[in-house]
Amino acid sequence: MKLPVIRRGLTRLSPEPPAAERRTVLDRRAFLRTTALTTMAAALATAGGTIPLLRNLSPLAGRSDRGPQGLPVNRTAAAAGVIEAARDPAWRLEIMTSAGSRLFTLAELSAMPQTTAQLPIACVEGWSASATWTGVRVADLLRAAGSRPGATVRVESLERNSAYATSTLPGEHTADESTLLALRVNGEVLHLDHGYPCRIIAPSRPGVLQTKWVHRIEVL
Amino acid sequence: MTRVLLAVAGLAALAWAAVLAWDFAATSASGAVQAAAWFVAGPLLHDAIFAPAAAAVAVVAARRLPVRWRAPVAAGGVLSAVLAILAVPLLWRPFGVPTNPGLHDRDYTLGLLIALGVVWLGVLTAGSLNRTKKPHSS
Repeated sequence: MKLPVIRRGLTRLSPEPPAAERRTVLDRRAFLRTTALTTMAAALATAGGTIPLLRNLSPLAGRSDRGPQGLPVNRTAAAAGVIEAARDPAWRLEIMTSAGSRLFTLAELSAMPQTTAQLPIACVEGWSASATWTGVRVADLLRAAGSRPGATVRVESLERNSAYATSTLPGEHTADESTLLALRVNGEVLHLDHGYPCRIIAPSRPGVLQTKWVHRIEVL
Repeated sequence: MTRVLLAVAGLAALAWAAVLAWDFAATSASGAVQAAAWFVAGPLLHDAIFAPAAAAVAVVAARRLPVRWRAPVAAGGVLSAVLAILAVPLLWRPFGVPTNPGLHDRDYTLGLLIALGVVWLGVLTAGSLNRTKKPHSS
C-alpha cells in the first residue's frame, strides 16, 4: 500500500533538479515525501492502540481487544492482591457522611435504579477504550446515604499499598449524571480485573482515577 | 500561501507542545527528571551515537550502491530506523511488570519483521522500477 507513494516519490526525482543538485540522493521534494511516508508508516504501525479499525493491522500497537470483556487491564486483581476480598460474600460498600455511615450489599446496589453510560477508560500510558457501563449513579448513591450530589468524595479501593488505591472525586463529577458506580460492563457483570464488585467510572478522568474494587466512599 | 499555512500550523503545534511539556516538567520532581531525560539525554544520544552511525552507514551505502538504488535504500533506511525505534519499548521491557490482559500482548518481534519486510519489498520494487525508467529519463 505504500508502494505508490514510494514510486511517486522516486520517479519524479530524476528529471527535475538542475545539474548542481543531481548528485544528492533525495531532492527537497523527495525528502519531504520520504518524511511524509515515514510519518504515515509510524502512525499506521502504532495507531491500532487507539483506532479500533487498525487494531489488527498495526504491528506495534500497545493494546488489543483480548482483555477480559474486550477491555485492556492495566492492573489485574491478582497484581492488586484483591481477589479474596473482592469475592468475599461479606463485602459491603460503606458510604461515610458527616451523619454516619451506611452499608450497601451488592444485591442492594443492584436493586437501585441502574443507569447506562458509554464512557472511555483513558489511560495516561497512551491508550483509551470505550465501553458501555451500567451501575448506580454516584449522585443517587449519595442521596440514598443522606448526602447530596455535588459533594466531594474520597473513593477507597480494596487494594492496599498502591498510589491509586484511593481517589478523590470532585463535586462536579459526583453531580454529573454519567458518573457511575459501575456493576456491569458491556452487558456482563464486571470482571474481577475490571473492578468487581464495583468501580467508579466518570467522564473526563484519567484511567488511574477510575478506582476499581471500591469498598468505601467518604464524603469530605 | 500553502507554505505560510504549513509553517503557522507547525509553529502552533510546537508552541502547544512546549506548553504541555512545561506543564509536565514543572509539576513534580520526577516529571522534571523525566523531562530532562527526554529533552537533554535524547538529543545527546542522537548527536553522539545515532547521527554518526547513520552518517557512516550512508557514506558506505553511497559508495557501494548503484545510483538508482540510493534513493530507495535511503527511504527504506529511514523507515526501518523509525519502526525499529518505535519497537524498542515494546521489545525491551526491563522492569518485568506483570502481564496485563489486552496490553502489550502481541508478537512484536514478528510484527516488526513483517513491517520491515514490507518496507524492503517496497525498496526492491522502487529500485527495480527505477532501472526501467533509467534510459527514458537520462
